[in-house]
Amino acid sequence: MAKRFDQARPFITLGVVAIIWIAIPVAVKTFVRASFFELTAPVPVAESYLRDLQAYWSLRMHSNNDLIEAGRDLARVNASYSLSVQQNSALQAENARLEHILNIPPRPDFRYETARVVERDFSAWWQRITIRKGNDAGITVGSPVVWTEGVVGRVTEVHSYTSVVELISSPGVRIAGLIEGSPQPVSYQGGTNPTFSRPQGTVEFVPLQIIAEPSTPKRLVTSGLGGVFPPGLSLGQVIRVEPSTDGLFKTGEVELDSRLSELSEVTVLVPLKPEVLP
Amino acid sequence: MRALFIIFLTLLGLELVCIELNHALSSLHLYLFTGGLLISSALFSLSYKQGLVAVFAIGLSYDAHASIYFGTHALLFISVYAMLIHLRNRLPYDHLAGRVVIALICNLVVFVALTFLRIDLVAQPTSMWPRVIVDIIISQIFVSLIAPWFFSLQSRALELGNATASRSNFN
Repeated sequence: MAKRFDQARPFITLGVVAIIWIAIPVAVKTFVRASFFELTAPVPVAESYLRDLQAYWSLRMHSNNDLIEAGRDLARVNASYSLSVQQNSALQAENARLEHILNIPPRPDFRYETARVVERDFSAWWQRITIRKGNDAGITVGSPVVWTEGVVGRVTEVHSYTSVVELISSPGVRIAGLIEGSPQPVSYQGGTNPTFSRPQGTVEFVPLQIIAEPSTPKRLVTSGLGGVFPPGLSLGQVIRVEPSTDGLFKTGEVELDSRLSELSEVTVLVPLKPEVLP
Repeated sequence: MRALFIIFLTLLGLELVCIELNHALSSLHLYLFTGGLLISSALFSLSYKQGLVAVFAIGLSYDAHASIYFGTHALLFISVYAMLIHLRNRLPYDHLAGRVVIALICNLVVFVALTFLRIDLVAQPTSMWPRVIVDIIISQIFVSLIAPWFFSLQSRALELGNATASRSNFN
């Protein structure tokens, strides 16, 4: 009898631990999760500072001629951006006027918080990055995160000086989008990240008239529905659509930017009124 | 108690090394997982109760760095640990090669279990398997390469901390 109990003891212990764990209040689990995260956070953060220092010293090795060339290129880019800013201001004023006439409620305003990437985690199960700003910079859970080429993802956890961002390539992420040339919203979902190739996603509820091929891809942008992401931000390229099983819509593949897995700096759009985020 | 603390620190150290390696490998879309090595190394170095605590704690640390229900890794880890304890009389843990094989099997089991827990989130689950297989292969190669060093590191750390391994009685 004692031997049989000894054999079963590991499984009895396992059952007891599992029951206790399930019964523990969520607040306690949240506290334990935050504690374990903060326990290990200083190591990746210190490592990211070391990487920045390494990058700084490698940049110091560049010659003056390289710097002059880079400065010249930057001046050209700045000139084109100045023109875009002027056009943007005129469009914003026009937009505000039309919204006022049509009585459309104002969209959420954001504050831009640029943050360095501390850690990238690109498993097959989830894709997320940790950034070097958190509660100290006023970042809130649910804030959209962008970079120069479009949407990066959404803040899912905020810690004292770091935050975790779930990327749009992650299978659990869903965003309402618009395909270029169509006013009907579609549903984007993160997909797989094949080894040595671009991250991918899928798109559902695509109108039947939309045609996309790898040779003629269609741009997918955020729709602004749901109020999390501002409209018009790039998500990726729809490279293929096929009729879904119900025949009412099409489903398709979305190719995301390959640099999504190499990000070193992102911008968090912190809402000025956090309560507007769902 | 001292042995538990020392072994937990080594487990945490290996987890942090993996986090840094995965950061470096992210651009290639490769991922290293060493959870099975952590479970088996606790089995070889600690008593049953201490090993359970160490495995559960390192599982929680894994959960803190994952987009998954908090406690999934921890419960999976102690499930595998319970199975290892149950099979303790039949495992060849006295030889290094046997220990490495146990670590590899544990790693494979946890990896596949986690994949099945997450695969329903993907719109086309079959598209996930090629990536999973590549990750399993590189993780297994990595575990087989570092396992002897890691077991040796743990026994040396216990020596330095004047703590003794008490895995033989599993009590």
